[in-house]
Amino acid sequence: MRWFSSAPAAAQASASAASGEDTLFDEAFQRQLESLALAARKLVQGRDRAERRTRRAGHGIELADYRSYSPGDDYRHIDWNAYARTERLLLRLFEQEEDLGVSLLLDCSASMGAGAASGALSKLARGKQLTAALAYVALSGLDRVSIHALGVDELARMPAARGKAQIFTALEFLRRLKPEGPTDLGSAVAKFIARQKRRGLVVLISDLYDPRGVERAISALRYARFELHVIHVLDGAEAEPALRGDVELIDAETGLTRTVTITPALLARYRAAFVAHRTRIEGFCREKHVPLHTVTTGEALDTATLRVLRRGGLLE
Amino acid sequence: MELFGLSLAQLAAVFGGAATLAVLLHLLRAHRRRQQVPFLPLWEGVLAQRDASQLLSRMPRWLALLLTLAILALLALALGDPRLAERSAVVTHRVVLIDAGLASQARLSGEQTRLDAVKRWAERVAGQAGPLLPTMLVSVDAAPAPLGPFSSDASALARLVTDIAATDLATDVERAHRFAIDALAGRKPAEVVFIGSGKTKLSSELAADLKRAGIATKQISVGSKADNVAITTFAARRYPLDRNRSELLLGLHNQGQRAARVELTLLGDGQPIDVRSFELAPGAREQRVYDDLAFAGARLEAHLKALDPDQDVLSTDSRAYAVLPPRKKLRVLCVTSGNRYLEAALLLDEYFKVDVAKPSARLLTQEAFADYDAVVFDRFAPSAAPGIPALYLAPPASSSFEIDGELARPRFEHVQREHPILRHVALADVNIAIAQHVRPRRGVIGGSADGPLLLSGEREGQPFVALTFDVARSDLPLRIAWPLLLINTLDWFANERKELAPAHVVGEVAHVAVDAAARTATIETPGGTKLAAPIVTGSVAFSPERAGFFQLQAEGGAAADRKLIAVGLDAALPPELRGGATTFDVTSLDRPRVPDIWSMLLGVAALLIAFEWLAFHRRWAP
Repeated sequence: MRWFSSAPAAAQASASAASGEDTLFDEAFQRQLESLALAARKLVQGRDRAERRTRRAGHGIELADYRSYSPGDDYRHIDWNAYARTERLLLRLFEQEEDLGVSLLLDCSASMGAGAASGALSKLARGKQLTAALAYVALSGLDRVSIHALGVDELARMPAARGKAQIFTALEFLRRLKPEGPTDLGSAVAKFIARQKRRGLVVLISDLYDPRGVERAISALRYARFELHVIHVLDGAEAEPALRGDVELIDAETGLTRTVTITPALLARYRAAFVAHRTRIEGFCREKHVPLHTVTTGEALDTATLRVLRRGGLLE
Repeated sequence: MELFGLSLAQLAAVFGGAATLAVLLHLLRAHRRRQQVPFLPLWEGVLAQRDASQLLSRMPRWLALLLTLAILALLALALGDPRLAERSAVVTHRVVLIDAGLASQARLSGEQTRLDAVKRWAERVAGQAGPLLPTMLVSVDAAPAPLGPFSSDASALARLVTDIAATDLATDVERAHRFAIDALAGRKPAEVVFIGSGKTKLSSELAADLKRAGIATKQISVGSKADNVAITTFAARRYPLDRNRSELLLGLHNQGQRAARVELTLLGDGQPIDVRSFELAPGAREQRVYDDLAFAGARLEAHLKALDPDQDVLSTDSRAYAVLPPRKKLRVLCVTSGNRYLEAALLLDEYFKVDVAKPSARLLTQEAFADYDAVVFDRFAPSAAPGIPALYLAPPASSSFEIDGELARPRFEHVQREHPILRHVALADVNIAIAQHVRPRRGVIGGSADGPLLLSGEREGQPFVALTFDVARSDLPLRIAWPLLLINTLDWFANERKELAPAHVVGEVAHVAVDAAARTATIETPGGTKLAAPIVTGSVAFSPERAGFFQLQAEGGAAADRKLIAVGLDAALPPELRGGATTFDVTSLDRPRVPDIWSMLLGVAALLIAFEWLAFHRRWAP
């Protein structure tokens, strides 16, 4: 079964890919998504529906927990047997099976497009591919998927959609995104939280270069009770910059410059600072129990996506 | 302070160019490569740490440019080779004449030759060269050969000495000093150092010229007076009547003060053909003739060896070389009705290949003689010339000779003894019964007052000889003159005299005739080296520098023209193996050298470069 072969949307996507400047989502990428979905399906052990359970009281059949009765609760869910034993009114909570809201937050600041060597994939391009892959896997599980672009003044978003056919809408949305503007994850996340009333799974895809720190954004999403996953997109050239001699460094977002003579000793110090930067973010995420996945631009997309899905528990 | 390298104007030009280039590079360097980074604060942290740790890293750019210009100025000044005034007061130009002539091949001890010692001295003298003592090295034999211009580079001069090789040419000291005078013209003070074999006494005229030019002369004498035996003359020839046998003339000289027991070996085509031992008296000059030597080859060599090696320190002049002209068979057609005297005489020389034919009408055309080198007509002759050299015996009236009668009992009353065919021939008492009276036009080389008896001349470019009488009607066949006359005549026809190899000596231009159609020629020296030689007007000219056998091969003619050429030493310029005192101040050769200012300037420049690298290259430029 080929999901992209016969649908009109597939033709639309192909035409768009052929005519647009962005060839990220061409036929090869779409075939890759298809094989990725197949692999993800194997991981969920034959489930036809990737239904996810919430802890809210609902109409499920599996008892999840008890809580004290409050006025206004469904009278039918009071456990009278427990009342006979304890003389307390306890409300039975069932795990309600419902479709999961998946929000994919993609950092589109200028730093995501900077530093890529000629012909190499930029971080934003890798982020787009990851977003598309995750969206496709989620849509295949009948989850509601929304995509939010962070980094632009006006928060761009693809409204929540359901069904595999919506992947083309997602691809078209992603194709239009360009790297621009400074990174302010805290403000962007605050806008997202204000709009997103329904809690669910949030995947933040970013290079985490925020002069104000990424901690504020991560904490805000946690406090808003989102199930947060962070994907740290890295360019290999950032860890090992191929710079020698006299250069003028330009910040991709602010345009600030500094002239410097690159020496091996200076490069060693930079590498140490880079590692410290990553270690600080990893420590923070570990402390807050937020899964952090690192994906590099040179890594194969299917490998990276499956690793993120498997380690992050996004498939179970 | 004076400049001994580039002049001030040249230094200014060099520094101006280099400084302009440096400023341009500095300006280009200011336009640094722009590199976008995603997160500059990461770099800021690193650079802030570096700024705090290194004070020198804040060296401004203009200071770096000044440092660069200072380094360039030092390097440019070093090119000028500045020297303090008191040290630069005297700059002496020196010409070193290095004797590489024949005498330098003389042994000193063991395998060491005088040339080895000369070269060692030359290297030491060249080692003194410097800005205050520009030196020119000249290799000297029969002609001076400068090894390079005046140079202050002692090591480069010493390397030139290594390549000097001895030649077989006698050293012309006078000519070498004349060259030195020319080379030192306009350079004062100046000096000439002659490093040679033994002390050389300059002629008074040359000494006066040197003095007039303000040139001091110094000598380094190598070796002491030594004994030597030499071959001064070596000549060989074939016997006219027996060209299979040869005669040698050898001149020997014992230059020592003691009688020398020597062994003389003659080699023919590389094989010993005669070995003799004898004694040469002190200072003796002897001539020895080796007659009746059974050798028919071409290459003759003589080796003289003193049984006491100390009595012959120069082996080169103990060898001599000669070439005998090659022999070829002469094809002779004898046209006769029968003449036993004639046919028997022609059998005497094995190099005559004789065919006998009866007179016939066939022999009246030139085609009949195409396969022969000479023809003998006995009482017969065609009216037309045969096209080859011809000997006529009693030509008939039908021939081209104008015969108008007979002479009764004529006698040879006059002969041209210098004519080749009359060499060793006595005709005065030959009795002749009757002879034809031939009216000669010219070319009478023997006859009586009544008429010619022996004629020679040319017909259609070919020589001829005619006897006007029938030898059978005379007593000439009974005399030794008869075969001699025949053989001389045929030899003259064969023209072998032109093939006699002339004697060549080293140092003189040898002209060797080659085939007129030849276009290229190659000469192989005794050492095996092959050299291309130009052909000018039918001959090859070259100047041999070594004695021995040279092979000349000319290409382009009908057939390859190969010639063997023997080259001997110049007997007129015998080597003088003298000793003598050295007038050179030998102790001055190893004087310590004061460091030059330019090297100090280079050192300072190197220090500045190191400082610049440490302080500026590794900087963080604001």
